[in-house]
Amino acid sequence: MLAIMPPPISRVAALGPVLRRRLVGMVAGLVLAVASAPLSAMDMHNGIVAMPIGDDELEACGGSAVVISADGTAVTLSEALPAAYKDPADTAPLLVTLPGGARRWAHIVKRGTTTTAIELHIDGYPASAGMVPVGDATVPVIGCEVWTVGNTTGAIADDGQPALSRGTISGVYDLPADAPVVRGRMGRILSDYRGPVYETDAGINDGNQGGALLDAHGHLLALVSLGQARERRLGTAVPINLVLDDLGLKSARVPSAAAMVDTLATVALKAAGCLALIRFERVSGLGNPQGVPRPPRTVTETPKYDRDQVTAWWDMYYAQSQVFYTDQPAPAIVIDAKAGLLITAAGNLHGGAKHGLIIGNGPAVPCEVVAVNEPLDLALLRTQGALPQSSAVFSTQPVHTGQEIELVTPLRINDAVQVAMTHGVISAVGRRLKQTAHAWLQISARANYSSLGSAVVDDSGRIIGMSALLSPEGEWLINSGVAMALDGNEIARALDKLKAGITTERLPVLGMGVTLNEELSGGRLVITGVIPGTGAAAAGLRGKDVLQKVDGVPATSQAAIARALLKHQVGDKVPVEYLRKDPVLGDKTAVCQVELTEFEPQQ
Amino acid sequence: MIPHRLLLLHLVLVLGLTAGALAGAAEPSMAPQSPTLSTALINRMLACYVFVGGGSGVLVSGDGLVVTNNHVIDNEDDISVRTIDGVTWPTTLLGTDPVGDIALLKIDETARMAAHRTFTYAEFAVDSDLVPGIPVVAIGNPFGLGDFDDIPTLTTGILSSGRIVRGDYTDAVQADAPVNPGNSGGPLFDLQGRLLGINGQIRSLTGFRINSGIALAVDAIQLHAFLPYLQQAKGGYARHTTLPDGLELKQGLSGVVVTSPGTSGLERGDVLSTINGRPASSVAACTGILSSLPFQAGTTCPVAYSRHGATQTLAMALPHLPIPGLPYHGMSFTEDSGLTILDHVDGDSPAARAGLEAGDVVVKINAAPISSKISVLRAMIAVEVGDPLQVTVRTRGGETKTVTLILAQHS
Repeated sequence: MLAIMPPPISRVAALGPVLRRRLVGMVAGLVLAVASAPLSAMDMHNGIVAMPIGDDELEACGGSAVVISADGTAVTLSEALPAAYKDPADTAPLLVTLPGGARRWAHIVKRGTTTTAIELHIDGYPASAGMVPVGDATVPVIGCEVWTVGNTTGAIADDGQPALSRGTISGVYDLPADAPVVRGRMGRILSDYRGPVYETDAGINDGNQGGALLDAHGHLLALVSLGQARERRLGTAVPINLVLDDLGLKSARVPSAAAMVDTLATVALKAAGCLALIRFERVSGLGNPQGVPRPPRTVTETPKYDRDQVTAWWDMYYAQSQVFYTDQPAPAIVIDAKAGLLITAAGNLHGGAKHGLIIGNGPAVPCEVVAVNEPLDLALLRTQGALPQSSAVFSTQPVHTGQEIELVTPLRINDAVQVAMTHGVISAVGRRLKQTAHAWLQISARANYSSLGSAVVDDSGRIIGMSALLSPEGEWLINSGVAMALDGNEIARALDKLKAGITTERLPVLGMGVTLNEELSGGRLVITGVIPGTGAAAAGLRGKDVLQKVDGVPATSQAAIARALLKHQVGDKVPVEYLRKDPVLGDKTAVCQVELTEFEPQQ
Repeated sequence: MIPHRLLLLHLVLVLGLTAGALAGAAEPSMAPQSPTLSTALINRMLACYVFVGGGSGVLVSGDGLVVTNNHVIDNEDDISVRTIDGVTWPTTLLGTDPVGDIALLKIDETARMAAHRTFTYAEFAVDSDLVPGIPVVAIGNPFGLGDFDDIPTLTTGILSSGRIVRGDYTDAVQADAPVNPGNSGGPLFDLQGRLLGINGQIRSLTGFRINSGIALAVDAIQLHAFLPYLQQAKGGYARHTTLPDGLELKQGLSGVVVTSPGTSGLERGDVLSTINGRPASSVAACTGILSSLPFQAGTTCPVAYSRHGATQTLAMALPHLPIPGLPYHGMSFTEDSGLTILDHVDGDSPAARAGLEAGDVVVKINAAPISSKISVLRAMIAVEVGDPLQVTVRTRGGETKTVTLILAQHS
């Protein structure tokens, strides 16, 4: 079984096993829920200040800082400093913007050594501008509700109010020391922080750096960083404990609220028991179709090109840096542990991988690719023996738009297998991407290349789908809040062929069985052919018949007809009104009932 | 209030109910507020949604008024909308606001009556509803995913801000619900089903056109304020106000300071506190708020400011903001035998829609007699996009007629 390992935040004090912490958190929650009233959202505006924008034209806005003491002591990260202040020798004052728009001078008091933490003192800081109570960053677990608060795209500087975003702690890990710097537009360095972080699916954008990650009671858990794990591309934050320890700041830490233990996330974690991570041999891959070599991983490297070259280089490489590199393991769901069967997204096999290694916290287990259903982005894998994971049971309960879900992903960072999880809702049920009988679940949880093949879990802990087809039409959909999943029914329909070793390259068309081109007669589509054995043939439709209405929809375009038909399933009968031209008998309009069938797409 | 909330929280933790069970009260609280979306509420929200071209729109009246973004319908010749039941409806463009990125469409009344259809529509939220932190629902057609199945996309999040000025959006709200290309013009609801705004822009850390947690929506206050002007625009434009001539501001330590009052009625050194009831938090905010109102002759805006330590108020008269772009009428002229004649009229241009035709002899433009091509230029030297142009012509049939066309933006 894939164990849920304690987060490797070695420098965070007193971390116990996750389950223990969750239990402690829940118990503490019952107490603190009574002891600590939730704060007003307006209270979150207090104590967050905007850092100044630098002279570098690449800086779109200033970062953020968090005031933790009434005397004007604030903390931030070096990535929130304007470029000129990143030289430790520079001690010139900074002009910061307070909530409401007033400005004050601030001074850098101390720079951290083990983190990128910065201590500031704001001159004449008014009590009315408030401060943020410091929480206990040893408590948070995956799934806790958190909020980011900061100068997002200049929110405080322009509007006098920070921008808020709500999410969950979606991962807990170390950003590895050899990870490349994170860059934004034009190659601007956004963050070079390495070390322990909380990952969150709450919004983190330019201006949030150095700002607050708060728990559900408004306690400061971490300072937001623009650092990212390459394969996740989600925002991160540096635990406040590390920041305060690094700066030697003693603060009255408030025991953190237990409401952070999100019950949905707790339930969803149960699904992790049937997940696996597989390392595939891939020479090129999803998001890296050209097989572009990995960029330099030297943290401190500064490309020595002129600006134009750097811009072009990083425009390409920043795009490429969002790829799921070929040495990253991919998630899979065990569907029959005894028979050693797993499924994953076919996209994880780019480059035509035929074999993989299931990795975990024990010895690696080899597996082979049995077959692939390419249009469904589904692959079946098999091991020689039984698997230690539990077998996933896909829910057959109906799902609905707006239902809350979690995307549960096994993740390997720093040689430990962990679970990451993003939160969202079902955005659409029955999403059709092609004119086939197959439908997708669309979810809003942040999905990225590390989560392709992961489990979509409902609020009862039931697995309702597998994340697949991250980029259906070639759009850049990483973490966009638009992601697809195959539900249990679709997977079950595809399994028989997959188990028989049959690879599917294209899906049959769902339709009436007529061929059409763009030819119109009287503004209506003309049938160019009827496919034998289909509903159209059985209903007596013929070539040159002019479709008038299909299921009540005027047949003005193929798209209109497709939309009408896709509201039905195979076997449904739809009324088709057509005009048959006859030079002898005259034109005649008639209506027939056409049964929808699946048939091979016509060339 | 708090005891109820704490009781709920307690129950959730003990009984292991979903976080969603907590919600329902859309309070500005940091306690778990996962949206509680009943099927009835979702269906009502979806029923208000329409597909518009590559984007989205929202019904705001039972007889088929549709609000969308100007950039969704800009340069579209034939605008139709599709309701989620798959029915396509022809529409008329009542008016647009290119500055505020709002457009108002009206579903064809004949088609609506023929279908015996009264639409489900969204009601506008009011200022006090736009509270940071409340749960929100966005509905749209990201990446055109619904083009094939008539299923819009629903996403949830929170309101990240109250009313803000951001870039060229002068009265907007920000949300973290996933919004992507194709959501433009689509609704942003609260959990009472009130329309908080229409999603129009995203900001991205990476520069890629995908959501990263920042969605900007033209808020309900601005939509509601512009609605009557758009309804009366006759296919033309609604205009915005702008700063009084010569007014210059700068950011000081204590706030936004007047450095040059111009015609504003303020004095140098005055410190602004609120404009139209919104905080004067920065120069950008002040400039934006003064540009956020619908313009009509005599429009004033309440401004509160501090002078020598005393708070004072002023009803500031605001001029109109020219709609950007070159004015376009679609006519070209030639001279023949001392007459100025319409040489060509572009199809579907303002002139064509007003009934002008090639061969018409131009007699007057905006009451100025036309005797040459130069006199045409003189008559139109001061016109702007959105201005009415009164043209008197003598047709080939010898009839003299005067038409009024609205100058469009030159594409």
